[in-house]
Amino acid sequence: MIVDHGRILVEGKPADLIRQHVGREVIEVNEPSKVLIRWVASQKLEHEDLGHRLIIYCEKGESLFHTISSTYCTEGCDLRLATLEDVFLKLTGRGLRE
Amino acid sequence: MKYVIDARDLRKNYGERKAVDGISFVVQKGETFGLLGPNGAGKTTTIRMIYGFSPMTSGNLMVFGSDITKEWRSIKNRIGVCQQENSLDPDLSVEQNLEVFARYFDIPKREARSRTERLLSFVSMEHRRDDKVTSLSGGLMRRLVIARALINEPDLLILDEPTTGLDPQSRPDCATGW
Repeated sequence: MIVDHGRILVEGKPADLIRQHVGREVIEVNEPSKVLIRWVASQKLEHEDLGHRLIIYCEKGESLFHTISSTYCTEGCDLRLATLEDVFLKLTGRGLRE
Repeated sequence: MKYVIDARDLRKNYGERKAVDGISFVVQKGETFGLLGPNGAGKTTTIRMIYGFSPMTSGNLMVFGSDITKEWRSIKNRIGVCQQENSLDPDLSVEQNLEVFARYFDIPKREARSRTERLLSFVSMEHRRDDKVTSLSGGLMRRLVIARALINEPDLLILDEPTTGLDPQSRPDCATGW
């Protein structure tokens, strides 16, 4: 169960929450170029633009990862499995509290 | 008893601030229930109500099928709590912290000794048994607090930020060791 501001945001088994809210895999790109960000938006990929980092949520990231890493990536990028922490950050935001 | 914890519409206000604003959930026997949220989300306030430390402003809370507002004494006997802050007794040694705590639960002396022995070994702190807790590192204090939470062989174990300060070697044990 994830709570925020004294209320429940979501409840479920960790694996289900990950699947429902972020998908299976995550691609993280350091220092993404404007070209990449535009391309990701044009492909209608679910993503978060954090300025110095771009996070793309996907079901099967492998071919997408190859495309991104060979064509757009200069400062390093990673393909990894989605975790509960991704769900947490997506739902509760990334700003510091209190 | 249907649920170990049955919480309905829990609320806790501190003046104007709503720390817990209508939370409901159930925990079944054998379940590991995780409560996640950013700092200040209301996690600690919620669990403090469950172990009878902090009265709720309103709501309905049953633990082991009993009403926490009425039968808190018998409920507390069956709960182990590892609080967020290390609340060890600084005047006592590692070993004494466990033995004295056992006496709060009316555990006979001989039994208290044998549980202390088992728990010291569980957290791999036998060699520090005679040390003052003030001489322990943050991580070792944490391990001792976890051991102390198990002294009454609780039916419900409540851990508030249990892995804070623990090294990666200690963490898997913490999750699966009992």
